[in-house]
Amino acid sequence: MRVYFLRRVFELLPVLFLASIVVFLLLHLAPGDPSYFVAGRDATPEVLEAVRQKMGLDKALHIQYLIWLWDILRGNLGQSALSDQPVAKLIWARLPATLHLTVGGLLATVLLSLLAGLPGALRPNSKVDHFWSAYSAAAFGIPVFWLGILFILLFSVRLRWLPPSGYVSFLEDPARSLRFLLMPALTLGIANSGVLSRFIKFSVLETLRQDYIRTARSKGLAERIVIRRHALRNALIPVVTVAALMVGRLLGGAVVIEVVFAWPGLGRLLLQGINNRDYPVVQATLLFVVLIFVTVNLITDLLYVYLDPRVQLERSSAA
Amino acid sequence: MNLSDEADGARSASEAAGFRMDKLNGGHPAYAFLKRLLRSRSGRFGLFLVLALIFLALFAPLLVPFSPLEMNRGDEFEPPSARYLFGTDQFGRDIFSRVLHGGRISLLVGFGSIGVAGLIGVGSGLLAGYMLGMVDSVVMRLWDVLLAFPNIFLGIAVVAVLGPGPFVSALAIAVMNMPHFSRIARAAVIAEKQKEYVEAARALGASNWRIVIRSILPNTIPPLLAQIATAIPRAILLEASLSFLGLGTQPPRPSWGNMLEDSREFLTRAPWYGLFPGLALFLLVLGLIFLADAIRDLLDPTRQNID
Repeated sequence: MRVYFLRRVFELLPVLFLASIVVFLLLHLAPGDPSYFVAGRDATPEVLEAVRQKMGLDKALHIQYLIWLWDILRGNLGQSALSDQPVAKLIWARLPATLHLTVGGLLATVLLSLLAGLPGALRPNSKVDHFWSAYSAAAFGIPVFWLGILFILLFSVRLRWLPPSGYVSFLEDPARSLRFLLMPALTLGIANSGVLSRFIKFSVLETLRQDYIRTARSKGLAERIVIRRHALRNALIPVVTVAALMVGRLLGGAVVIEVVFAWPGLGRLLLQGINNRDYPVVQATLLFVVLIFVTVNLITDLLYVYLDPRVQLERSSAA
Repeated sequence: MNLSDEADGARSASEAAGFRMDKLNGGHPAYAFLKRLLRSRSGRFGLFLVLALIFLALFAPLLVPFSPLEMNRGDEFEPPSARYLFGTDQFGRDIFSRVLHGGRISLLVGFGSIGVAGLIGVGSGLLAGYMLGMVDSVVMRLWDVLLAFPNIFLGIAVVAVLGPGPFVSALAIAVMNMPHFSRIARAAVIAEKQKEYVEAARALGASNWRIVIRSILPNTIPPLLAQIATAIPRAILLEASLSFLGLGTQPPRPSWGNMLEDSREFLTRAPWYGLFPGLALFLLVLGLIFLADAIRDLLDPTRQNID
């Protein structure tokens, strides 16, 4: 396990290194003088010159990259060209809202997927199965921002049950916070349950066909126990992996959802950065997202090995 | 030599694609495939939806009562009626005309970007899988890096450099789809390379490229077809997302994404505004998903998992 862990971390380094080059190059591929983007719109010639010096724009590109990378590794993500605030501070301020939304979305996804996936697996071809299959297909195809708009139309404009937009920290006021979270999380949850519920259904169906299920039944165990103790437990191992892999999808979906519900998270920070050509913000946010995404994938892989010992055997013998 | 390797390649390809049946019907394998597709319920439903929407988008200029950009003064925020089927927007533009025209962007970007992704992805995958070594490492590392960016963020990164627009978002969507095609083609080459028919072709003196194109490429068709079928609806959703975020098609040119973005400001005044572009997008994607499901079922009858 430890060897596998170290090997996986080691494999990540080149990917992160190359991704950082891509992010670094954004600034230099964009049309215009990079120092102008970094120093801000109304920088005086002296400030521009100082920024040029600091970024090493008169030096070779790879030296510039090393200067940039060294700064980032020391935790200095630069200043926002627009507001002059440190980018790290901006990201830190937006992070809780995005985490909030992602965790809420993940919970909604898992609950809805179990609700939609299990009945079809336990009673194939029944009416319940057909209903939830149709739900899964619709959930898979529905554009997440349209669903959000429909929810606002229904729950805020027509019924006036929930606030159409905004965010309150859970630590500040849990009850109000949940009211604001409900629609965005539900929207994310429905959109992502399309994939996950079908995965759950097929995983359980597959498990029910295994020999050990037949054995459990033939030794006279009650069907309830067969399902709960033998089938579900085994079927849900791959589901954990898929659910964790969905964090990437959730992060992506969160950007769009943040716009629909005016949610002050990282996604909107990134979009503001793009619209204002605030490259330090864009670069740092992108790098941060990649880091999260890659780390989550790593954790997922490790979790899978931990949950299913067979995988470990295969991998370590192959290594 | 011609005969032997062509026959081999063609036969194994059609077998892998599940074209063995329909011996009595004979004819072209694509024809047999279409026939079987129409036999499945989700295939019929998907094909109908997709063809209907393609038809509406393709002939939009002939079908719509107004130009998508025409502003009708005094008719702002008209609810749906006989004159304005889907109502009008804040400039008095006919939403029905704009929805039909918006479909052209979605389809063009969806099919176009996946086409480009398929060509470059498959080409690079064949090359990597056949040459292995250095070429393989470089190509595969490149895809690893792209896969480290969650899709929409890669799109945002590309737009950050090149600026917004439908062409740029198509390019971004093409780039993020290349790794998948490349990996499929590479895996197929590596698997097929060891088979006897490839050795036979080589013994007969066929050149490398001839072997790859004539013998190996046809065998990659079933998994690639399945990949294309799943990638297109995603590409269309992504284009709409980027337009919704203001990074894709720019107003006043209509696209479903930017119309939905526009509609957010007027949810209370004109609830119908956001309804129709979203519905069109939903139906197109749903049709494509059903079609993709039917195609994958045909290609692999034992398939259990999705995604």
